[in-house]
Amino acid sequence: MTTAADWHAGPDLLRQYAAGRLDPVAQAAVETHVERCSDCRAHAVAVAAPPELEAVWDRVLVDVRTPEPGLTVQLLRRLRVPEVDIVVLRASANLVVALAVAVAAAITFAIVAGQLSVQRQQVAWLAIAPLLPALLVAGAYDSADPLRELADPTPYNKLRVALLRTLVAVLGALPPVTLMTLVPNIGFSVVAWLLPALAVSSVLLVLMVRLPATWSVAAVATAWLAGVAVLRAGGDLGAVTAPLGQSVSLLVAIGCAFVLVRQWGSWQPERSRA
Amino acid sequence: MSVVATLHRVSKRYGGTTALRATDLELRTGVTGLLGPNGAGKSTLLRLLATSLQPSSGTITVAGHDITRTPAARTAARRVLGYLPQEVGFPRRGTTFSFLDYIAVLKEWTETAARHREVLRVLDLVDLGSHARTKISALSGGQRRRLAIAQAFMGDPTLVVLDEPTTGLDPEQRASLRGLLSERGRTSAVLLATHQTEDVSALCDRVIVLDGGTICFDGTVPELVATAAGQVWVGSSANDGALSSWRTGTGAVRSVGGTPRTDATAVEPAVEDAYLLMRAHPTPHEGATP
Repeated sequence: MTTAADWHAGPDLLRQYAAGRLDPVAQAAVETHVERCSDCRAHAVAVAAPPELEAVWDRVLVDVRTPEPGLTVQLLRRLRVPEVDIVVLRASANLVVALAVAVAAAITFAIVAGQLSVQRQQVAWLAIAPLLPALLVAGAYDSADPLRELADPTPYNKLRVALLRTLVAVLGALPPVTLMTLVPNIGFSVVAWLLPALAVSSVLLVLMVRLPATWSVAAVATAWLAGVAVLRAGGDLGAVTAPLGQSVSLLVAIGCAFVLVRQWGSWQPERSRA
Repeated sequence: MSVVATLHRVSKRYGGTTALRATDLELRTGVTGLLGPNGAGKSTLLRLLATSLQPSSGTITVAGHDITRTPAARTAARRVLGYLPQEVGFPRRGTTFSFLDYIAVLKEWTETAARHREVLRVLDLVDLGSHARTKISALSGGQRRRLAIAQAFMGDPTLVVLDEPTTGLDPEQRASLRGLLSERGRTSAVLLATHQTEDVSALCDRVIVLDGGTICFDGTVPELVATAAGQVWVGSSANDGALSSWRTGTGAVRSVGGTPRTDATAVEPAVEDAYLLMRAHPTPHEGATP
């Protein structure tokens, strides 16, 4: 009977171990044994082709020196977000700050709106909710982006970065906007803000090629708020949530998407003059 | 030495201000120093080469790609570029590793293992290998500068554009950086803007002096120094009308320009002397057009 003390790894097993081809459990078991057994250690060095051994050693060194991923990265990996996108999102730290500001703004809104009349609550909600994602995207750019000077002259597709940030902004805006709907009388259009928000954010991305992010978001916000004011003055605020208003929002978003697709690979946000 | 980048009649205007006048320039493999006072147009020239700015007129070619023509050409040029801006903003959070990991992604290092290996390589290159897990907020000014330099060396850039790379570095770190740059200059064109004339004399194969958006001098370091021959003196007191004079450690007064006193002796000029004289009597280089 072979005991753990007199067991030794065979040449095939050592070769697979040196090449890193064993499953993690077997790899760990062989590694533990090789560390204790000088004979097997010598055999492992002998059976591993030098380049393979070097590659294994190199991989081990890189693994050991690479910092452990944080909780957010681990969560995103579990959600199967591509590794490259995780790195881009992790670097958009300002987006996290902007999201925190949005949550605080939403809570403030909910408190203030609770004091307003039913009609004013709806006006305020329709005016603000679709602007939130756009504000968050703009907040991740321009003077708020400390890495812009380094990021500009790199070949990575900037529109991909912007779309990732927009996606996170829209997803991030969902909880605070849902919170807003807790205000009495607003619940009627819980989802009606989504298409206008998509349209507003798309227009922002198109504008950002020509204007700095802060100017772009100011232009978009002014136009949106003016539109809401005009509709309210005409007593037709419901048009935003009606099928026609939703269709217009969708068409605007599609039109902007068409423009952005044409700019794929060349999209780059304009910067404020230093 | 092969040509890596070319500027042809390049100018840059900001509103009514001209930062760079119609300029012709060829950058070859080797280290080129760019000297000039504040506001001379150095950073503008560097940012034009780094594709951060578009010129008002003229064409710029980097590694055979005309970066003024199409976005695709600009992207192709960015793949062979390493750029260090004068001021680098760092994220408030994150480690040296995560910062370089992000820049590596922007430089299209999409394969994770290869990217991490490259991040660790450039960290070692600037002697920050043991700080991979260190938060950027905990780094000293010199360490941050070295971190910024590390990202410019990522990959194998054919054109390296550095804006005042030695700012904030101690003498030992500066010497180490000079070693890195001279090594890089064997296969790449390295252009560094600096106020440190000793860096230029110690490191550069070629020096360009820029003033008021115009190239005043373009040649080797010995050629620049030669322009000051017979105009630097040491005596018991300053020359009449000297551009600059100061008492040295030996007690003698060193004067640049002016009329020498009877007891003054002409001495070997340095890059700084030549630069000061050139600033006082600028003569546009033949490649420059007013």
